[in-house]
Amino acid sequence: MHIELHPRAAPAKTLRVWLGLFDTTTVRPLRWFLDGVETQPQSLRPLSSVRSDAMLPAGANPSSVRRVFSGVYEFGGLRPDTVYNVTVHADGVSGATNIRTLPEHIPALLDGTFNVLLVSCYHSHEDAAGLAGIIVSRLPASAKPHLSLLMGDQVYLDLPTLQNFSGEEDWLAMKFERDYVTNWRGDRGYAKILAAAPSVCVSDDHEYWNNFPHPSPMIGNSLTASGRTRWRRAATALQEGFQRPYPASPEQPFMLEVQPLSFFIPDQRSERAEDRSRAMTTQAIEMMKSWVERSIRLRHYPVFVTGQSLYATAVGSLKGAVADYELPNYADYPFVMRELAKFADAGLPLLCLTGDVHWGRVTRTRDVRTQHPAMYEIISSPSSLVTTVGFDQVSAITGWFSSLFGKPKAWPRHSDAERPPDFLASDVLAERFRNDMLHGQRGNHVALLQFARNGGALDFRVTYVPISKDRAIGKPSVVGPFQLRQQ
Amino acid sequence: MINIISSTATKASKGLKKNARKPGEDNLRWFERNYPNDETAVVVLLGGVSPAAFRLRVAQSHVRHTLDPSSWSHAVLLGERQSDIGETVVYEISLEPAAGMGFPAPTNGLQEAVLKSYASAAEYPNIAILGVPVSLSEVLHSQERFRMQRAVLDTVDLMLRWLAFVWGAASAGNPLLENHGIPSAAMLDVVFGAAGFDLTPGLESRASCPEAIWQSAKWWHEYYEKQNLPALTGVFFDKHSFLPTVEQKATRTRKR
Repeated sequence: MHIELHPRAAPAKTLRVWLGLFDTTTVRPLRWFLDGVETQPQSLRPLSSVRSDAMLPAGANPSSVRRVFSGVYEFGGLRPDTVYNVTVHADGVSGATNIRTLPEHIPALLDGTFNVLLVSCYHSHEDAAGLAGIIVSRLPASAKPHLSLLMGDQVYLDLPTLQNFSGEEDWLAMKFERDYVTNWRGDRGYAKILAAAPSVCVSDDHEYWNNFPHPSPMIGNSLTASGRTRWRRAATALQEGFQRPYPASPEQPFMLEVQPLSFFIPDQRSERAEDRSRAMTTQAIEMMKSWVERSIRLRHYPVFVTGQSLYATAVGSLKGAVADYELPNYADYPFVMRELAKFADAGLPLLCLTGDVHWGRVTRTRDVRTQHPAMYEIISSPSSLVTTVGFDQVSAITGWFSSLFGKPKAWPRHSDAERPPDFLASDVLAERFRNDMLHGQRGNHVALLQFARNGGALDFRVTYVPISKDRAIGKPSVVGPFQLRQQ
Repeated sequence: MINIISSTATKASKGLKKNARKPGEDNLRWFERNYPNDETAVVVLLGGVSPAAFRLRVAQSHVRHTLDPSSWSHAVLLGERQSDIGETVVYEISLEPAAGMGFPAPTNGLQEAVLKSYASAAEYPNIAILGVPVSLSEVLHSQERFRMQRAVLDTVDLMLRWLAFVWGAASAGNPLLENHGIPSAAMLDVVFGAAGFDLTPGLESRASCPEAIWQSAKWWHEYYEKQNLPALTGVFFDKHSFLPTVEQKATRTRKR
């Protein structure tokens, strides 16, 4: 048996930890220690197998199948912004980690920064050396993240493209568990990113399959209703076991305050309706309304975190069916955008954070009524670009020819950032919010957001950190600082 | 392009009053007459006429919607008032300090002088004294920490950029257009920000300059009121200008 502990995001006086028992056959009794003192945490997800007995191969004896058991635990009544050592013992094996609780407030300008790491789209196959984890773990002390937002595609369950996937639920569950173990276990690769700071995971399509919950021509299992149901059940079990940011759920979005910032992190993927009537559940929509109202009342700076960009435009039915539908393709998008526009009405600038698109971008959005910046969108994607069969081979050949003529192309498989539309959600909000692209980032990267209070305003800057061994390519790009200011 | 927002106020702040220099009066006597009586921190704006001041005033025309040169070339923080007002310590980052630049790195460019350096009404015809509603001790504490925090604002870098522009070195352009603030004003922005006061609410970046501080005092009083904060107050005299001699017709603009 092997034990892993990964820090999870929690309010300032609380510490949460994800526990994984690997290669074991049953639940084990646990003994927890906080800074060496035996302590009983509250269980947010009781220790249980990520593959239930019903997902084991037919005829298998559950007590003899080695698999992963996971749980999420919470320690309360702690000091903010303080490092605690968490140790757990289970059946003679132990695991330990040091976790810093979040601060209650963003520090003032000369007292440091509150650092948020933005990561998305990690395909372990393309990061065999574990470079993303190494680079994140070597960030300088002043840039160490306090919080990580893992904004979708933490795993690619539907890859490799050319593999023949069985339609049996037990086979799918076992395959998905292997994918998660690759990223969650050990001290290299993605596990280093998970260990870097307390994190929140946002689900996107590859936590299920490309364009989930809709049929995808590349995914045979997704072409029948029964195939989709079996895949969905298996993927959901694994998502719950490894990623779900308990106590949040698709009905109860994750919320976090580090004053004056207020984060709202809904799961807009797991409960999408196949008829595209919604991306969020009704209960999540209600919670969003309350969050908007509360943030305006308390004059908090809102941060809305999604697995896809709110700045996208709806795609046509052919592209949607083949690639991935965008958020504007869902019927609840107008409601979401009208709610977010209330922040501009109240003079509160909004930050939108996302991943998904395989390039990075910073966009500033002005309210044409006031000329004030009403929103900023920061995209961080990918940390390790997924393999695309066919396209990658063509790109490699093109890149090789370019290098023959003295023009080696950095990141030949990647694309440049696309420009945002001139106006944000113009179908819903008309031409009220004008977009300016401030920066585009090509290639594998993570992004670091650094916040500091500056008088009544909030300064932030974005640092894109390329995931590259090449010193020239790997030089970070700083965008900003910008000021969020209430009007 | 400089990201500066115009305030929505239609009337200038009543907390800012004009008070002319008396005949033969130097700046120290004027400061004595107009020094605020409370415990708040004090910022002084100066509009010089040296070649460097001229370049700085013209550079800030981009912050003014009229595009004419600013009345101000420099901004400084005053220390505790001394009985001899000329001996009051001035915290600044001057591009032409009387004592020379020395080696600016260890203090992040911050210099200390005394107010009598700015006594000459001929060299500094424009003057303003602004009360900022933050306790001086807090601001001085911030100023001490600022010296050690080049990562927050590297004013040594700003000094080099601005010296290159002011001296016309090679093809150095106006640093404000690339959002690099004038060092002393940029320092004040950070120092007051760290002490909890937003000195230039019209700016979206740290590209501060004396003109931006002036506009805060003159036009952003409603913003402070909305935030339940006292606004900047003060007294000024800005008779000197580098205005164009032929005015454009047909533009009705508010004088900033």
